[in-house]
Formats: sequence, structure tokens, C-alpha cells
Amino acid sequence: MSASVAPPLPGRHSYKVEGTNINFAHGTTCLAFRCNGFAIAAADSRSTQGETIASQAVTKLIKINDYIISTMAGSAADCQYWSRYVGSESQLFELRNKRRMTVAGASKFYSNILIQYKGRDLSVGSMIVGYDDFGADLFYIDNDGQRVRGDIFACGSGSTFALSVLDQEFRPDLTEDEAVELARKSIYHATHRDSGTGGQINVIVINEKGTNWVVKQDNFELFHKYINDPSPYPLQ
Amino acid sequence: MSQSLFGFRGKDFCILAADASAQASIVVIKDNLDRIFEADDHFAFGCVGDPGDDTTYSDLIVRNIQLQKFRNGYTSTSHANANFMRKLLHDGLRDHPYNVNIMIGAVDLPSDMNDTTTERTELMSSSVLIEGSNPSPHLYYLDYLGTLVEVPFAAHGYCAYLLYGILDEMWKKDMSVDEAKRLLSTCIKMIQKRFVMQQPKFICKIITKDGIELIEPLNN
Amino acid sequence: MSNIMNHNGAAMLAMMGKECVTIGSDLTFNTGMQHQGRVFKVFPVTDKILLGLTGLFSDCQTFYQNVMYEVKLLQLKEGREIQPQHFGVLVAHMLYEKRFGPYFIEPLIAGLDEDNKPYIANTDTIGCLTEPDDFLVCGTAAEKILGPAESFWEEDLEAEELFEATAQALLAGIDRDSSSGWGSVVYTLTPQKMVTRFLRNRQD
Repeated sequence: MSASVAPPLPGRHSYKVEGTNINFAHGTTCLAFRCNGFAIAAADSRSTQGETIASQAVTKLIKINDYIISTMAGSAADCQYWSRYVGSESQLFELRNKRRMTVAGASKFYSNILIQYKGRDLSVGSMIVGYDDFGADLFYIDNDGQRVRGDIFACGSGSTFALSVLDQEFRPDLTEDEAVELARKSIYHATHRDSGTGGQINVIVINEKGTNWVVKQDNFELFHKYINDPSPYPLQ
Repeated sequence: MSQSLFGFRGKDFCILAADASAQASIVVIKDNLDRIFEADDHFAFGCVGDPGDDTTYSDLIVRNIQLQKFRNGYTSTSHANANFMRKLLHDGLRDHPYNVNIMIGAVDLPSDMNDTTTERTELMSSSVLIEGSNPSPHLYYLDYLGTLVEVPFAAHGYCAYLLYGILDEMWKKDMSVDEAKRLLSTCIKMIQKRFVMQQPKFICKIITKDGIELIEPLNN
Repeated sequence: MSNIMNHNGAAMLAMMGKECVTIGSDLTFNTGMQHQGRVFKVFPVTDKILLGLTGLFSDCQTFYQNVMYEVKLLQLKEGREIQPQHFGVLVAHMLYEKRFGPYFIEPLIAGLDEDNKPYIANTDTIGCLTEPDDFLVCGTAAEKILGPAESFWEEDLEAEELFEATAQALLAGIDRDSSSGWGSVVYTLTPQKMVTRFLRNRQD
């Protein structure tokens, strides 16, 4: 796909106006991992502007097409726009070639766009996770142009908390239910400790049948389940 | 920030762990550095931060606590010692700050108790107090700003980002020593797996009513 | 987060009622972006005065220790308890003493005087005393509590109603502030007793 499809690059001067640069969803936790036969994408739903919580109900898991999800960390506008753009290109690809775009293909296409804008203040950290003819697949891409294939990735300010929990129990032969529970728990721990992460926990399973949104749950429901909380005050 | 220091409280003991490597420029100059200082029979603290500040500060504390004990003829409570450490950090904060982060692990014996202990009503303490068994273990988080907080478990620096998830999930009230050693092993393995700096060796100490001992993590 | 006053988050609110005051705060001890643990930010001064401290928690601890030194010394010297109005002036003075190297704190004072007249006050970091007769907010969540507090507060509320107003305003504010939270506590001070209640709070 030629890059000339992308909107023209802005001129070399900066378009940034002081004080108008709003980066939603800078604090975030997204994670994705793949097991035998399926992949999982999970995220929180908080968006912050400085210390203020702008929203507790943001969707950070963006559908590129029926079989590919991209997770969103960094600037929400950048992620949303370019995910949608890659989505439309993947649809065109399908019409032209009579087969679905692979996860590797979609992520490479996305990454190529990010490389073109390198050094121009795009802010994107995204996991491209999906299922194609070769099975479940997962890539991490970011605005530096980095593109890495892997089994486990996490992204955002709370990613370390999630990753450490995920690392404990991750196995490639997890069942879908086990994997969903592990993803939920990992995101939960990030919501608990990281102030940029919170709200609902969303988990999507992607397998040969497509994407399936299995969890959409407020993290407060899970407090007593996951935290061995030593605090003496009554929480009822 | 890249040095690791963490600790947690068990049933009647505290455990502190710190990585044992010292760094100068891009070189590891020592791989068996003991950052956990034993100020008293039941009072130890780990100290990480700017090279120079860490040793100066911890030496100062250790000698002063020993001097105080020598002068008074009795052991101060861990609360008193911790507040002494806090005051030193805060007094220096505005013109000659010590850039050090501290984790204090201590066990108070009933015989050590004096009036300052009874004064610690739930509200007076700056932190949420947890009903202590006797002898009571205390873990204090003390940062370079001089913020003293009593906690069940804590970590300093970058390793906090990796460990809080695990500790939140796996720490339990009234853990036995074996359980604690297993948790210790999990934590150290996590740092060694995910943290970019090489930290091959950790020094871990347990503080019990019988004193302070070196321990090895227990593999699962 | 880069501002030292916002390094450790806090949400605090004091309200004045009919022969009663309430003061509520969250419990988190936050460093930058990370919740480290739970702390109490409202400290008892006498049976009828509570001092809430927001800002840099290290300075809060030092300031509380220093102010208690003065309060206890006064008690010993004069054989009487300090009154909230005088305590407000004491706090303001102690802060202004450090005019050119201030404590990074904003204190909030709530109390009942010897005639059970309610008193609330706060100061800025260098001791400009404000003594309103409705309510006061403090901390990183201050602006977020202000709106709800404005709509929940009414004149001459009884203790129970006042607690309800304080709790609702506090919770609404905390839920919009990422730096505060992790539980909260409200103290209701009446001539007879002080009631401590913990609120069911979001934990993210």
C-alpha cells in the first residue's frame, strides 16, 4: 500500500499552540497476550487531563476490523484517527484481494505511517492484536517506529503493575476463561496502584470466530477479590 | 532510582531486601554490597540513593541510635527511632538534602515499650495502624522528603513499579517465614526478569524478636 | 504532579453546622502517580480541635509535630486548653515564621470553642488566615469538591445532616481527582462527642 494514501504531511513548522495541546489518555494501562488459539486485549477506561479525571468510561480497545484490535495509549486522537485509518485500509485490502489483512500486515502498515511522522509529536503506543490465517498474533508498535512481535505486552503508565501480575501466571496453554481472568486481574492491579489508571476493566478475546468483548466491569467490584487489604477501617 | 529496595511485614517479623550491586559510571564496581544496616538488635533499615549520601546518612543514623542507647541505657522504640530518622531527613531537606530513600524494618519487644508507645492512638499516628501482635513488627516507608508512613509492604525506586502488583496480590496478613521467603523469591525473580538493570544478587534480612539474620529466598 | 504541593495528593473539606463542625479527608498517600499507602491527614489537637493538613506530607508531619509542641507547652504554662480561634492564629503565625522558605502545606482547622460555637479556618502556605462561616476545601481535589460542597451545604445543619453533606461533597470531588482517594474519613464534632466515620470509596 503506498503511503501517498495518507493525508499530506504538515509543513515543517509546528502546529502546536501553547496550552491547547490536550493529550487524553496519557495515563493508561493496556495489555495484550496470546495463547494457543486465541489472543487477549485488555485495558482500563480512565482518561485524565493533568490530575483531573476527564472520564471514567473511555474505550481504549479499538476495533481495526472484525479480527484485529488495537489498544490505545498516548494521545487518544492520534490512536483513534490512525486506527480508523488502518481499519479502512484493511477493508479496502479485503475487497481488492479477497482475503483478510494479516495482523502482521496491519501492524506493519500502521507502523509505516508512524515512521513517516517520526519526530513530529505523534504519541502512540499500541498493541495490534488479532487472529489471522496463521493463528493468533500480537505486535507492539509505537511512535518511534518500533514494531515488535511477541507473546506478552503491556503499555501505559500502569503497565508495569499489570505486567508483573501477568508474568506470574502466564502460560501459552491457558484456557480462554483462565486467560480472561488473568487479564482482568492484571488490569485491576494497575487501576489500584496507578493514579492514571482506573474506571472499568475491559477485556476482549480474539479467536478464529472474531472479536468477543467478554468483560466490562467497574474495578471497585473487584477490590475485595484481589486485594489482601490490611486497612483497619470498615469498608462494609 | 535504579537500585532496588523493598520489604514487607509478616506475622511477627519484617523482611527487607536490597540489590547488592554498586554502580560507578557504567561499571558495576561491587556485587556484594550490603545496603541493609543494623542499627540495633531489632532495628534495621535499607538505604538507597545518591552514592555518598547513602553511606553518610546511614552511618550517622546507626551511630546515633547506638549512642542514644548507650546514654539512656534502654532501647528506643522503633517508632521513636523512625521519627528520629525522619527528622534528620526533613531538617536537611531545604539546604543540604540527603537524597536517600529508606525502608525501616523493626520489631518492638514488650520490654522495650515505654510511654511513647501508649501515646500512639490510632489518630495520633501519621499512618493507619494495624493491630500488632506482641512482639510487634513494624515496617516504615521513609522517602527522601522525610515522609514517614507505616505500611504492611513497600518498595522504593523503579522496583516499586514492578513489585506493587505482586505484593498487592500475594501479600497476606500474618504470613509465616516460609511463605514470606517464597514471596521474596517471587519479587526478586520479577526484578531480574523485567528490570533493565542487571541485579544478579540481593541481600535479604529478616528482623525477628531474636535479632537480625541474613536469609535466602525460597524457591517455589 | 510536577508541583510540589501536588506531589502527595489530598482531598479535604470542612463544614460548619449548628453547634457542630465536620472535617473530612481522603486517605491516600500518593507519590507522583503511584498510590503508596494509606495515611490519616486529619490530626487531633485538643478534644475539640482538629487540624487537617494538605500539601507536602513530609511538611505536614513536621508541622503537626511543631504545632503540638506549642499547644502542649501552652497547656502546661497556662493550665487551660487552647481555643480554636487562638489556634488558627497560632497556625498562621507559625507558617508566616517561614515566610521566605515556607512549609508547602495548606492547613484546615475545624473546632468548637468553649461556648460550642463552631469554627473553621484555613490558611495558605504562608499563613493568610481565612475564617468563613460555611465551608472550606483544600488539597489537589479542592476545585472538584468546591462545586458539590456549594450545593450540599445549607445554613444551620444538624450534625447528621452536616455529615451527609460533607460526605457526599467529598466523595463527588474525590471521584474526579486522580491523585486522591483510596478511602476517606469524616469526623463530626459535636459538643458531646466526636464521631469518626469511614466512607465507602472507589479504590482506583
